[in-house]
Amino acid sequence: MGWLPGSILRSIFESGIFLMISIGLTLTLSVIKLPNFAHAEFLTIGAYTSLVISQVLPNNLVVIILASFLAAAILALAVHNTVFKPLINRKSSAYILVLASFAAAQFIRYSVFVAGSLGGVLSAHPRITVTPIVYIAGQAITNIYLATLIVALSSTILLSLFFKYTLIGKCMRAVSSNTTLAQLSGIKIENIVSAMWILAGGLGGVGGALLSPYVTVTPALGFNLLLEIFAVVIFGGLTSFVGTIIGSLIMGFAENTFMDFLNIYFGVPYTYTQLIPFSLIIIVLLVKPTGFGVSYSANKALRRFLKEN
Amino acid sequence: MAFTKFAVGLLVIGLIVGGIAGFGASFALQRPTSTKATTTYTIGVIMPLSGTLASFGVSFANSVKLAVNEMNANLSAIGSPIRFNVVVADDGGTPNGALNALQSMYQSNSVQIVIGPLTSAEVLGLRDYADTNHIVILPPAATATSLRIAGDYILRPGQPGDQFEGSALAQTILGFGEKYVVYIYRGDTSEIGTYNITSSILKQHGVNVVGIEYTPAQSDYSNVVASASSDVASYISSGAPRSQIAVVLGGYGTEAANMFTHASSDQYLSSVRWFGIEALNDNSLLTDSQVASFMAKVNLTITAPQTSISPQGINFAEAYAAAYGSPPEPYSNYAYDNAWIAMLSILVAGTDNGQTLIKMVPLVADHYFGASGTGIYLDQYGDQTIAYYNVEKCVQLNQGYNFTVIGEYNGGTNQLTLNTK
Repeated sequence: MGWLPGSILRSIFESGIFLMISIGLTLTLSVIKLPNFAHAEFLTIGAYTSLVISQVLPNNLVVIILASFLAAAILALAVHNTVFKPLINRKSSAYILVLASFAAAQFIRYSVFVAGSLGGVLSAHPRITVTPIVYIAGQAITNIYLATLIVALSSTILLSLFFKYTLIGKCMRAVSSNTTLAQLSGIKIENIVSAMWILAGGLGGVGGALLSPYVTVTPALGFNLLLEIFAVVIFGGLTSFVGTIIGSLIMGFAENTFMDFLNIYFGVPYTYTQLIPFSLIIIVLLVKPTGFGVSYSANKALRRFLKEN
Repeated sequence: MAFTKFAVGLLVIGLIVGGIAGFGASFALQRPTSTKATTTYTIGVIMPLSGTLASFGVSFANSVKLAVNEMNANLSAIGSPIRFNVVVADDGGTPNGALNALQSMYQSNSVQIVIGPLTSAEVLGLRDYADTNHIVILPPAATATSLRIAGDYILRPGQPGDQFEGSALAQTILGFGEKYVVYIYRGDTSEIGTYNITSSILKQHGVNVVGIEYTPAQSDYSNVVASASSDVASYISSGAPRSQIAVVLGGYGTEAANMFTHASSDQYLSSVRWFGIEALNDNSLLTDSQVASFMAKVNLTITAPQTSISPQGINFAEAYAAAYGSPPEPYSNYAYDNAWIAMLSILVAGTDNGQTLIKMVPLVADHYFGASGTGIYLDQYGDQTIAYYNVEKCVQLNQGYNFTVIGEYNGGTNQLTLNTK
């Protein structure tokens, strides 16, 4: 069992990465109920921003994270204004919006591909050095693992508090519950939705930036993670931040500790790593389709908002 | 009056006769024009222009375009009406992508000969379609032993097959005196084949081998690296000297970059020697400071097909850099040579019919010497049989990192010569 402590630590850090790349999608699903397939592209933009900024300011994680947030937030806002907003104004169905998110994702991905090809950065690595800070049970605790865990947990906690205690957060919950009623109560829907896109896109961008030191930045970086992002969100019950933390832990432990266990005791090769989380998704969808999240009551939130304002 | 009528009649007859004579003369005296119509043959290129292998795919496709441009310039200079055209398709590095690309090329452009795809898995994806439709496939770097099939439409005059690479890698590992090997390999046809050959030879020599197969195209391989670390740690704890423990990586591209990044912060994996396949000699890995410094630290040693410096090879590298602004990726010279073999075969045959070319390409290839710097001799499977490998070690230079030759392996005699360790 000497492998277990190191494996658990690795699972926790990998969970931090899953949390960071998924939390923005949870926000989108919470507020406008859109399973946005273009979310993965925000990661790609964040990773490319990290690549560019790190050429000028190598290893400056704070600046890299802020710049990645900004770049992905701008992209998210642009996608909203050019794709989703016109479709919502035309009262397009949810299916059309989902298809539009697919199309937007493809457009962004291939635009990045063309730009990457012209710039000679189809496959590149940012100038961020992964440095082990301490070894615990043989597992290296690196600067990037720590930064990811800190940023992911603090983002999620702050987002939860933002939703519960700030005016904009309460407005977002009101919009989520009943858009028409929220509008009638004086909430400027467009401003709230724009704020949501800035947060969702920005957090996706930060996820991409924190992922970039370990992976090679390519135009398909986000797309390759799309299924895992959705897996985390499904585990978490789609709209719950606490649920997303649980979903991230399930993914992190399924792909690491549980896989290590199967490999060590049953000789299951690591090629089956991806099979475990996706088998779990099917089981979750069949047995507990609401996921493991602790979702807030949106109607209750709206009533409280109306009473307080 | 009668005279007038006669004169007018004479004039009319004269005009008619003159007109006919003039019209005929104009035909007779007309300057002859060229009757030669331009004949254009299309060379298909199927490569991964996106995905983990894009850097290789783009470089290989560019090399084919370079060869075609050179051929067209020469044909134009001698007044030949023949020209070559290139159609490039991205297969995304997948077998299905390769099949779709070939179907599209064949249906839209009637392509009869293709340079590519890159990996053996992609070649296997389109093999049946190529055989059925008599399309000649010339993959420059697909080396799997599973592609050694007689009578098919796959000809491999480029890189020697994995049976040579597996032997070269095994002999190199033995040459360094390693007794305990952890072998991480990509779960594709080519790397599984190389692992099977290498591990089989090592085991015959009493080496303890643990294999870790991984799924290609995942974003992160931290668990695979952790597993290798655990295996190395158990060897160390069982008393094996670190100098006799080795890690072998049968992977490449972004997957290798991810594994090296994880391994760079691992205390066990950083303390033993690493070996690998030729695809690790990759500009994108060597220019990544974290990855390259790890590769140099663990003395990453690879076996790579020998590319002797030939005038053609030097010309190719210079022309490529001039055309595209950067040096070609390793083994792009095979793509360049394959393009020349394809075009010369078409010129000799006078047709691009696949059923004719499948007979002509081996004849031309066996008499061709190009940028790869070695001769070619195809066996009954249509595969290259002349196999010399360099043993190369990753080292830090004044400006960055690169591989330096430290030995040689002769596939014909199965002999390894190490100049230094």
